[in-house]
Amino acid sequence: MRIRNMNYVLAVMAAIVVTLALTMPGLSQAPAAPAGQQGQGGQGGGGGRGGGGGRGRGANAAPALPTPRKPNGQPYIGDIPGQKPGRWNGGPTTLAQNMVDKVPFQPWARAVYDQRQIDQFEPHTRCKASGVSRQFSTPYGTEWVEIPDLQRIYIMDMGGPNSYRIIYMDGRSHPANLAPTNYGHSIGHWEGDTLVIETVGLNEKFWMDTRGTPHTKQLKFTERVTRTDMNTLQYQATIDDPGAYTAPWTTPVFSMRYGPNSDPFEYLCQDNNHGPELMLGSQTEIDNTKFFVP
Amino acid sequence: MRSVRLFFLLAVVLTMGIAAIAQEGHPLTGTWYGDFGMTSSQRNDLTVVMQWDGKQTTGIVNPGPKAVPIKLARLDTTLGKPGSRGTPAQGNTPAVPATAATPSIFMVHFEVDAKNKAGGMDHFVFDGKIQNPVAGNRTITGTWTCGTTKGDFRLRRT
Repeated sequence: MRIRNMNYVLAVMAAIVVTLALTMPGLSQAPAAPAGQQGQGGQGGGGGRGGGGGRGRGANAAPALPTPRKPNGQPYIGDIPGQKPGRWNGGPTTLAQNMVDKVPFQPWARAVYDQRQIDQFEPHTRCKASGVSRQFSTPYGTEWVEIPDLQRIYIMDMGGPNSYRIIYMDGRSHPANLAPTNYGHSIGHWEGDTLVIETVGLNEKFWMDTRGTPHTKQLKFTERVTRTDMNTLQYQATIDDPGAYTAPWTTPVFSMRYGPNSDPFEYLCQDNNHGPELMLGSQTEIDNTKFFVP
Repeated sequence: MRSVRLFFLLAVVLTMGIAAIAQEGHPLTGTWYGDFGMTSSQRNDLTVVMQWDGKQTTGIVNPGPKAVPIKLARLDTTLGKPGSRGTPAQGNTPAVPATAATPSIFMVHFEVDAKNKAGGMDHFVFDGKIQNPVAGNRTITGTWTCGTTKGDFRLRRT
């Protein structure tokens, strides 16, 4: 009888322990990783959204460290002196996310946008450098390097054509008569904690995002970038392109996630494509009846 | 030997064509090369250069000493619709069939006044449809009229 009672007591105690373990996260989880150590290496810092815009943060993420700052109080937007390089992952893939019908497309631009939902292969898939926001929607993210002495910020592509964009921070203006290029001419300045980048001189040889939001050479692209904590970069863009839109429009706010300790590595994008006929159609169904010049 | 040379010449020409740089902006912008005529055997070279300024399309036909400005050019679009992959039936949920994509339609209209051999002016009207509108080497095929004369034309973006 005594033994039977003892078994009963042990069973009740075990049930209480199991219940507490399941209901109190603090008992059931390993100690949280130090902030700033999430998503190390490769694409791990993509915010768990697979490059889909990177909104929000995983439920298990530890509180991030505060925004790292320079001696003058400005945020470090990219790499931090004394620390290993990191990369920002999960840039916006759809600038008009949840607002396509509100974008003031010109009729031709809307038709092109719709057609690009059918023919989805863009210049980036053929290793072409892709400017403005499309630069951030690349595999393995981008590394941002500030060089205060030169008053420049370099944004380095990783998984792409291995190129870079320069943002001039020295107060210069855009040159007159720019020859249009894939990255254009970018100048930046700080408004409080927000880095404002204005880019003009863009050509029409790339898409602004993976969904094919169209633009013309008349595009003025303004980006507002704020590092809200160690691991988060908030990103919003304003598209002012009278060639493709009837009015300027502003995107939602997207979040990019920091992948610390992510040394850049060599990435080869294979140009000289020998199968250009395979490059038109959707990403699930390639249309071989169309011939595409890369 | 001649055929070998011809082969290599063609290979070079085709390679240069493939290397052409695609423009991804307004569908009419760029240089278009092709021909027009009244029959399939009676053809004339046709080069059209067009650009979009945000409000209108302008351009010239056959650039060079005898270039002719485009009097009027217009792109009319009809929106398409992406297809869907469909889903198989699951439990009580019936299958949703896949739907085919409906492409956007891009129709082109341009008019040119060109001097004829008698010194007068001929008014040409071209109407066509863009094929592969988001491809770098898109084409326009269609018909033209000049008074009571008519025929067809074809252009490819270079």
